[in-house]
Amino acid sequence: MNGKEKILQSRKGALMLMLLVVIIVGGIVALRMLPQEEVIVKRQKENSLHSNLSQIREAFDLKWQSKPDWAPDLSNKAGIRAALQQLATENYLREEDIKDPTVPSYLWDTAEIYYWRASTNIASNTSFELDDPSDPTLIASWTKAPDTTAATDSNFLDHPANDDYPHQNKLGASMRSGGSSLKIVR
Amino acid sequence: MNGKSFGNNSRLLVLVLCLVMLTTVVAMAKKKPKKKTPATTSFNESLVYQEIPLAQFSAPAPDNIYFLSGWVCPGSGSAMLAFVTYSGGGKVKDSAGVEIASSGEVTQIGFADDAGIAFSTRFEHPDFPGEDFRYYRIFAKIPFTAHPSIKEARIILQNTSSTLASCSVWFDGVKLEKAQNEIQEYPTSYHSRGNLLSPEFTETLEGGPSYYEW
Repeated sequence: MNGKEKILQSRKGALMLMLLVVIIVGGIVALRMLPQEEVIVKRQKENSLHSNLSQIREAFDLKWQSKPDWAPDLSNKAGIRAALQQLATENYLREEDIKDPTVPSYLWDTAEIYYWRASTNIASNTSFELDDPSDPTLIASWTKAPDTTAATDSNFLDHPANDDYPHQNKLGASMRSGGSSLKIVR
Repeated sequence: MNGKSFGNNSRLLVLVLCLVMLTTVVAMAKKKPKKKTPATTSFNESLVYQEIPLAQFSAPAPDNIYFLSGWVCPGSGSAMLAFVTYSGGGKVKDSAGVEIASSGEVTQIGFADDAGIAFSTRFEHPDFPGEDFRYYRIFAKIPFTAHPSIKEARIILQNTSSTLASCSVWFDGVKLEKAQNEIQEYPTSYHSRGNLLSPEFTETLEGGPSYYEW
């Protein structure tokens, strides 16, 4: 082996070493990027879920505003789907096929546990917005025990962070300003 | 075994013990300790109630779990949210619920399986300037199936403050809902009628409320 060959070989070795360093550094960067990618995707899904829930809940509230006695059957998947179809047909909802992005798309709608669920409030007038028509000093659906000082209070928790969509006014008068809470004095 | 490896082993043992203790402390800190009281509270005064038809509670265990929740501001006193059953003649048979003090301390009442705070936020009431009031969304997890000996069931909202000084408490956004399944730990988002929810019970990215609670 002459001097020229030796120089060529040592250059090859240096090139290999550089390549190795690049691969290692690239691998480390890729490993650091991978979880971030996962986090980004999950965050996108969460934002999308927020947006979808907002749309659906606003559509339900709009429907109830225009037809207070609307009582969809939300006890099962078929009933929920029918309600969403109706809301889409009546243009309260842009599309009926709104999905929960946190559920894998291949599982969505394949069983009850992979479709929207419904939670119904068994109690009534739970935000104390209605008075008793027979006596405006009473609160509809609620009875005062003897020796109880209780009345609605126009100061209530009006906190936008509670709302499912802008201007919902969740603990006040639905989709309007103002509202009330129940104050009990002892 | 030489002295050095014995030293290493004991160091490892101490480390493991420390880790176990740390995990226990963190777990205890996460789950705020609660007092638990029997259903001996008096349900007579400073309260409003709503009767709930017993037909709502026909499901047997394990499908008989309900969540009673509500936004409560105890002011400088204390307030209680309870589910009370009555036998004939208006006699209290049993009760389950949750009581909250102005300090934020929660007391689990009666046959409730669990009770706690789902969320809290500061509240400024214009009639009480400068007071550091908070609204708490408190809840109780209640297993209940109607029985012929039970004639009536009520939701009770009560001001349980001490009678030494006049005190106001506020209630809003009360919800009585059937649990989605046995693993549900918290109430779902409040709505006066009902809500559609995510079927996912996993925690969010930040470890916040699970998707079904949104």
